[in-house]
Amino acid sequence: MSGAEHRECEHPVLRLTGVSVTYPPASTVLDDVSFEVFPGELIAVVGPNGAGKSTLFKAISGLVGHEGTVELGGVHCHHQRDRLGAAYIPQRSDLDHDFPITVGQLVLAGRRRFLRLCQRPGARHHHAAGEALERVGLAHLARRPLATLSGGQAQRAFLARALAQEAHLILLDEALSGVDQPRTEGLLDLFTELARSGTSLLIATHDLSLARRRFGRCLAINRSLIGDGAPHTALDTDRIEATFGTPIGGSPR
Amino acid sequence: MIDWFTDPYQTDFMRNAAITAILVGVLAPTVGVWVVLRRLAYLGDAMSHGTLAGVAGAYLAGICITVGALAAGVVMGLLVAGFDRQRRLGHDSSIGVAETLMFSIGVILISRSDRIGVDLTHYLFGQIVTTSTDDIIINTALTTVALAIVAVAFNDLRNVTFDPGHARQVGIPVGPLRLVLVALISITVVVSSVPSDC
Repeated sequence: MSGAEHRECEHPVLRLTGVSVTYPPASTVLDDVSFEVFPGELIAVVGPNGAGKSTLFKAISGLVGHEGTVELGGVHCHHQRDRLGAAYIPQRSDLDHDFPITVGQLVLAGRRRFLRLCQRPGARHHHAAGEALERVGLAHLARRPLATLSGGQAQRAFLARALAQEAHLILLDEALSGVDQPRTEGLLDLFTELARSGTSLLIATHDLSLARRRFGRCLAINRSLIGDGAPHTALDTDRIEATFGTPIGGSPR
Repeated sequence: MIDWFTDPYQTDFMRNAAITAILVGVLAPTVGVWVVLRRLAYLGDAMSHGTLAGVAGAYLAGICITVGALAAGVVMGLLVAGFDRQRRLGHDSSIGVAETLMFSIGVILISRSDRIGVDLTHYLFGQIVTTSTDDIIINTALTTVALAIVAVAFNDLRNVTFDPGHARQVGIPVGPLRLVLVALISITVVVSSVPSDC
């Protein structure tokens, strides 16, 4: 279902109004970006390297300062605690995947939002983390170190952490890079299944053909929002050229 | 039969040295793991030099040297965090600037004062067989505090170290935890090299 169809009946999970991010001294990475995301939407965020996709996700998660407003679940995000319902999964290269942490411990980290300072997670939280692992099909790997997982399995583990966090909005940065074709399809099936159950997912990707094939809605971004809608409109020839700077196989006009 | 092993420990100074070795042997790896995982190895080294300013300052002011050294460690941590925030220097450069600044202050204080007759390099590098019973009491207390902090904050320390962005998202106090780690490094440096001399 597209955003427009939702608009009649539901409140958006996420509303961005005029969001701009400038890194010091004066490099504008995102310029006046506005859009809405509705429950259960699976959206591809498409753009070249350095287009501001990661920055967009970090601005939504409150990890970089921004101008404009971010509303999550109808709440204007003033503080970090207003953003607990969003889970940002950074790209693989941003984290040390050899870090000594097991899959179970990683997923349990998502439950931290329900704990007070210094409180240890109890049986309820362990159960929730176990359920999250089951949903992504990794229940049998809970005791395995993260370092031993393949790229696709690691993405599932991070998704389980987001589910354990009970996030309504999951932001995946280059989740499909370095994942082989069959596992990519498996991950996309999982994304679709999560979206059906009401979670909204934004997935940053370079892969235009994948975006067209598997996503109902695409956001084309290069510093500003260039296209927003179904793939055939958001990724038509003009918009692709505007986004990537070269005419690379856009949909017919 | 094993007298050759136990004999040396008949003396106080050897017993104290053994206890200190055990304390450092437990504390240094417990804190060191976080230092390595957060790629702060240089900070640990720099802090052991930077504490000279605190040691000299405390000696001149006539206050407990352990307190001076701990304070210097925390000041160094804050300086590094401050330089990092400016984003003009790389992280290692920030540590280098803070280290030379604090070490120079220590050297200036020592060379400009007639009152410091003892060799303060002993405070800088430590001398395990000179450990007094008072040192043992203070070091045991500091080690206990540091181990308790790591035990209580273990999960948060792990999550912040692995994925600081997610840690902030789920409400872990990332900034204060960084200070806690600096304090832990500072305690470890003090326990492993600075005699209390209160």
